[in-house]
Amino acid sequence: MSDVEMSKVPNGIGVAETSEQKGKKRGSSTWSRFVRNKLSLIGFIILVIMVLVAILAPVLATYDYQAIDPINANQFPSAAHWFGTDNYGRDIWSRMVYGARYSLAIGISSQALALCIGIILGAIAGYLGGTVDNVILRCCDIFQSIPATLLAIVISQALGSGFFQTTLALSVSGIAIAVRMLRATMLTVRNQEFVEAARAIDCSSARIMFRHILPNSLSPMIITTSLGIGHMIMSSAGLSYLGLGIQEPAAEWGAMLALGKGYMRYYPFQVIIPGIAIALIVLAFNLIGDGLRDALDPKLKS
Amino acid sequence: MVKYVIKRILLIIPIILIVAILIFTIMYFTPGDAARTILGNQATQEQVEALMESLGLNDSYFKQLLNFLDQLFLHFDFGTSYINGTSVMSTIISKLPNTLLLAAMALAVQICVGIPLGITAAFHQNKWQDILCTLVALLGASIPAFFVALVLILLLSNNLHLLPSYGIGSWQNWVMPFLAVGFSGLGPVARQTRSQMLEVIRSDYIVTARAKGLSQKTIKYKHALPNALIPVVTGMGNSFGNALGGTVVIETAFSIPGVGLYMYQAIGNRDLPVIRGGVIVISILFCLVMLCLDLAYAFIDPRIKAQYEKK
Amino acid sequence: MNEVNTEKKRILSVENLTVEYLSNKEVVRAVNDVSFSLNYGETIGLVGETGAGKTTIARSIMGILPVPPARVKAGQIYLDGTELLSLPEEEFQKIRGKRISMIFQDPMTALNPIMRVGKQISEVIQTHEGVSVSDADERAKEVLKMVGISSDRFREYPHQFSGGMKQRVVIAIALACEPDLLIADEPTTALDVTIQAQVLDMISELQHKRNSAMILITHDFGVVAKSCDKVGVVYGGQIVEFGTKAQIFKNPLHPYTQGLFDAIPQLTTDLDRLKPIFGAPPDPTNMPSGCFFAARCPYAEQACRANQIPAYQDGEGHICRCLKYGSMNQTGEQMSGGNHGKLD
Repeated sequence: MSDVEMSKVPNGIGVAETSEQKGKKRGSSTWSRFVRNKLSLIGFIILVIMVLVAILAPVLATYDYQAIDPINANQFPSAAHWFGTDNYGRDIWSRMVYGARYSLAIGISSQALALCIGIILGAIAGYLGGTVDNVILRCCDIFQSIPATLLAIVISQALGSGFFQTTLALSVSGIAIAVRMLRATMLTVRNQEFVEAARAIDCSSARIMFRHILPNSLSPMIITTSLGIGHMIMSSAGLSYLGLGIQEPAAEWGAMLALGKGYMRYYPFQVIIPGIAIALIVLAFNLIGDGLRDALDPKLKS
Repeated sequence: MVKYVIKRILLIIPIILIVAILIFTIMYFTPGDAARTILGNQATQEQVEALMESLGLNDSYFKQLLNFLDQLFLHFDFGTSYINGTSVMSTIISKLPNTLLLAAMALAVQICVGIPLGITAAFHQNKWQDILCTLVALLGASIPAFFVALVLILLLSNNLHLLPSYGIGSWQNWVMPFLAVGFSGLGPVARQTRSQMLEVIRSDYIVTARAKGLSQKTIKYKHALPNALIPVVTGMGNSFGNALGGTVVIETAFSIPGVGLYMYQAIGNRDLPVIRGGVIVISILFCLVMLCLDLAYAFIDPRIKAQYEKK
Repeated sequence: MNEVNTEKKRILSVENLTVEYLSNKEVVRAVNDVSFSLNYGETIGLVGETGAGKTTIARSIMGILPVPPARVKAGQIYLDGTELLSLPEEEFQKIRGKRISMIFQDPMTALNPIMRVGKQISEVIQTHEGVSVSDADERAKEVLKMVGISSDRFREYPHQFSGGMKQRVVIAIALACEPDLLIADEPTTALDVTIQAQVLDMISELQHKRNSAMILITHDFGVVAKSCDKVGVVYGGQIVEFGTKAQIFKNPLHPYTQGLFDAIPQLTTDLDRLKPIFGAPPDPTNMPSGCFFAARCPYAEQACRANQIPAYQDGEGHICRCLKYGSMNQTGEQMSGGNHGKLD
């Protein structure tokens, strides 16, 4: 019975699909699966709008976002000031528009930094195994035994406020997660047959890692990145809210919210507007991350 | 098993030691002058110098570190607050119950609401229950806890005058904090329960259970649920960690005198011993909770238990 | 009661069973118009490639198809005259595990990893026999002994068992309530060759003791030769040939069956190479309108590709879905059996 395929029947469905068919389907339909998911499409649209706002901030801003105007302080939203003005009379709409730059930049850069370090350490741990793996894992244990919010608080405190300092603080608190995620996927990929085959034909370790293992760890990496950016934006807003991270007079949403908190009783819009903006952009990244998870991992879909 | 539990508890000590070193080191680089912070701007340079000497701030990094560790591990002392000179350890202990109550609330919501919500969603895939679960989880994960807290205060306290917005005098004070931590922590648990449940339902042993002629209820609750909950338990540990970290924000928003608020005030004043102490105490708590969850894990999953017994 | 039933009494008949899977708006035609029947004490072997639809047929009979995505589009299944597919779920539950039970393919995943092995057996007994927990446990221990596992291991977990032992547990679960119909879905595929025979012998022995009927799903003609009375050859979700073991082995009519035999290495003939069947099975989402095997069949003609092929039957109950055989049979000609091996 040499021609009878002996492989296991896919669970529940007595229909075998050749690997060739699967490969073809996967590439082309990831995008269509992603788009078909209405929620992820909404997330994608929100993100595109946010990116456009951030890019076009100078065009969209109706006032100088830094200009203090005590006479017009604490104005309610009106035709002149769409989102009202803050305690210093600065136009909230213009500040919000510029704030999109901060949120996107800080979310993306801190996640990117965490991911880069995570990829390097995770790849080393996952590929080499043994003592190196153990040491890296123990380090992750240490970092993860401090709740991420607190770690970011401590590092922010030490580094002081500012964009780069906050980026660094946030990324350090995200490294351990990235390392673990990458290591776990590396381990599953490493034991698959095509890697064994590559090893059998004497590919170098580095080559196996970069040509075979990393590309195959891509899906979980993309998903983690998308969800991670949202998380970073939220944490950075939280730091600003606590008086760490990016501070006044920078037009950062968390800092704006922290400022508005003092006058919340009388001017609730000063809190609600930045709060909704933060929630929206985090929601966008969460929706995209979820959509990507469903699209890249078809086995989770029924 | 008992041996393993003891071993695990003992293993926390080196972890805490390294966490303490790590935190001390990070804080060591904090800019600013502790003595100047304590004495205020009117103090003369001589006074500042003298205080720095007496606090040991002129010593080398290693000497300071050793001193700190010695105080912490041998005398269970975090030193005194720069601002009011009170013992950090005793202040934290007096404030800890409020923080623990808040974290326990978060955990209770996760278990009592998050898990049932996830189960319901999984059993009614793509029906309204599922959509509700997705919605709650997404919003909970997307709206920052401090914003939830502020909106609650605006709505229930400032506008409707239903609940007090700060303090801990009566049970009414705890309603809004409870809603805020609950809402933020619910999502991950509900979602994980849902996806695990859906995955488990498709596994071979559930087919076996169906082939046995068991009722739907038995299959769902006796076979599927315990298996689905195993990874959820681990996820809950992380959620609890988030909740502990998040208490800083929640306590600040509702003026709850817990460790978080204490730390928040210390951040503003650059009161380093307080921040150090707070972070280390919360990390110890976190480690203990993770240990408990790990052990709970072993009780649900005999495979893990067997591994532990082998070690 | 079984002594009475020893005479050829019909236990199961499957009529025109058609099952589809709906996935991503595609329709996968997994089982197409399958009919066969089975008497008490008989064993029927369903043979075919992976993905031919054997497991789906088995799960339809058990009523454990995943619905959705699966859907029984047409057909009836009778167990002792009772139609199963229209039974309400609660009624079907009383039959599952009690009158029909199933041995699963992969013992590694078929057992609940966090439930004691003994409990997994006694659970069936408790559900169907209405006995107390302790009585059910006692009976479960007996069943364990029956499949060759010491009752000391009652309280152990699946991860403490080897693959072969797990399969024995799976068999014990299936046999716990002494079913009238046993469906064994590739019961030995996941096992080492050395214990395959052991497990098969054990299943056969237990089956004969009870005079149960059995459906044995396999892709191994050796297993069929050893254990079956009747054979159905499944291709593209259809039974393309059905007959007694002797009919199929001595006189295979369908070109696919012949091809399968040609692909088996023979000890008696001195062949340099095996003759594989070229090509791949049809895409189940896009089945051809005519004979499913036409694309790979050396004898295929224009007529084969035009319409569905009916099942032709000769006087002895040998059924074949092949136009060539059909037309020859009508004119009284016999189709050559081809150069196939004699396995029995």
